Amino acid sequence: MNSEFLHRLRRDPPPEFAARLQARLWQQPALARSRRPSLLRNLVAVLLLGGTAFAVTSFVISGLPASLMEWSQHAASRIAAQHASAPAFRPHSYGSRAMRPWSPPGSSSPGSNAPPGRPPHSAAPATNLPAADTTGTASNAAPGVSPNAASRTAAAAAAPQNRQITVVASWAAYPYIAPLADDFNHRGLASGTPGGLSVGISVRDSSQWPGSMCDGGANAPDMAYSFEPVGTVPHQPCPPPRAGSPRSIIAIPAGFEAVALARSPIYGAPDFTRREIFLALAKWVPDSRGQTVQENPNTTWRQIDSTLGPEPIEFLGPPLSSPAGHSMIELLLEGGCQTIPWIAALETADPARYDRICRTVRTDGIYVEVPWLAPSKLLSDPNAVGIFGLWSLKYIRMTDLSISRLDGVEPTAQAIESGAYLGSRGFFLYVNRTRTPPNLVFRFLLDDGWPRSAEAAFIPLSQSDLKAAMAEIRGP
Amino acid sequence: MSLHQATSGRWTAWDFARELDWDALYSDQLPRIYNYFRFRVGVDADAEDLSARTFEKAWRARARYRHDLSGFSTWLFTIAHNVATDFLRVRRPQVSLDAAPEMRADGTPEEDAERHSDLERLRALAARLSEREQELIALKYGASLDNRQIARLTQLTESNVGTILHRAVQVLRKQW
Repeated sequence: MNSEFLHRLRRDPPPEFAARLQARLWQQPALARSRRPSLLRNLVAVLLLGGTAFAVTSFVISGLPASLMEWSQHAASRIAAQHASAPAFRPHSYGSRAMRPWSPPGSSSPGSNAPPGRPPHSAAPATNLPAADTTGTASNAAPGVSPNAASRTAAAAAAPQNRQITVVASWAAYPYIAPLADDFNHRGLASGTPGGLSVGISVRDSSQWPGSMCDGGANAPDMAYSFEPVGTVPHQPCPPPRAGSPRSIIAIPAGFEAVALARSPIYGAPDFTRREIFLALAKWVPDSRGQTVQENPNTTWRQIDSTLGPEPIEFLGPPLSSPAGHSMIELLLEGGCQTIPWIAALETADPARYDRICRTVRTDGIYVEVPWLAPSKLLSDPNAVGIFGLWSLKYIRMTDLSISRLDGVEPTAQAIESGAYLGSRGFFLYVNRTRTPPNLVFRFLLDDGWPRSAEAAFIPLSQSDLKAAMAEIRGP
Repeated sequence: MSLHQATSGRWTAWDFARELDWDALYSDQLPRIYNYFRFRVGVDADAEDLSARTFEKAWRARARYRHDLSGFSTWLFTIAHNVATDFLRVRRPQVSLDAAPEMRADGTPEEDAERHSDLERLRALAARLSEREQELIALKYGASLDNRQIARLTQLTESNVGTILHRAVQVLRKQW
């Protein structure tokens, strides 16, 4: 027996175990970062403890109150009353696209992958729907007072009535927002935020919330996360306010996300278009007759385009129900679909058919869901094209893999920033300033000074840009 | 403020620690952690359970990871070490010091080990080593860490790690 023998006793973890654990990790929310010990905070704590000890001692010395039992009964009834007045928990409201239940990686049944279901994340405390709106709006502000300031005062006054800040997110953004809501509801909201507030998530399709947010009704969301194409960002989703009034709904850029393709270097760097990816990856593709579709017959790249070569089509990509899976479908599959005019027109004419065509990945084994795609898998299978989220891009660059161009553009930081790389999109936070305390919005963007989007593997804003965003949140 | 204006230069603005590639780290570190536990506890099912516990703890506490204080691997193995310690504390039978010499008697452990795989045999023999030697063997041969990484984790010097490992392997070789 020697060192070599001992090393040989190692073995790889069973793949099923690795996949199962990876899937389970996605369901775990992150705990908040521990705060650095502060001398001032410790000093205050010591003083408070000392003061409490002194008060208790004095209390005991001066004699116990005559009716200690009465006092405890009063406290108990007060707690019971508080519980009774707390808002009841109600289930999520789901958009039409989001009603499918989430299934663990590898268990999706044929034909059931479009659109993908619920991402594997649970945020139990954050399942409330918004309570009745008690904050007041810009329209009922007192004369001479800025509507913005008036409504914030109203928000502060109404806060003790257990109001819930409702945040709308799509399924792609849900894994990002769910841990935040957990964190807020467990640790309390930001300092300087009125008490009695909690955060609830409502998952809706991105097309459903802007209208209600602008309406400002009782069920209007206070904040919304949305992915938008770079360069076509609707910074002002609501109609302009009356002259002289500040805008109540603002859009804060929070980062970017992107999807990249990579392959073994044997064939050199691939150069795909989104249309080609759609024709290779979708379950339904247009047939030769015109405006009808057929089950995808393409098994080699040459069938899609004669210049692409005779290699078989193989994809290794994220589980379709994972956040990266959502991004892949929306950016690559739907993006490619949009290049075919008659299918793109279905988005408004026949949304159900559009979903079926543009958001359904083929189930004939050509796309293989891989919970964690190690570059070695692609190196050992030169025909396979790997699909990665943005957070893997940095790692891929350190390997021998060839990163694909998409519509002729490499996924560089500059290309993603400028919108030239079409496999990327912006990540925005829409805020109703009149209903949301600024400190709370800051907490959605920052955690101990770090941008939260970096935690979620999106590209974050720079510090100076964050300052600009904060100034916009504070408003005039 | 356009999106482009709002986000220019951000790629260089933030520390690499904030952009940890969890997918890559997971695929790189899982085999190390898994084999560390296999060498520590000798039972594959327990190794899976403890690996899962370690990653779940690390994943939940990822916001607390401070890149400026330690490498990710060091941080993860610190968690794994604590998980293993908790597990072994519960599992290990409590034996009085008086009874210890009887446990060390030759014969039975070897006979049992003959019937098991090499790893189980190694575990049975390594059980006679000190806690620190067992830990170093698991880190060196299970997790495939080099002596420098082990020294950082265990607060020993690099040469001390080498010496202890050499002696431990000699002992195991004699008993094999």
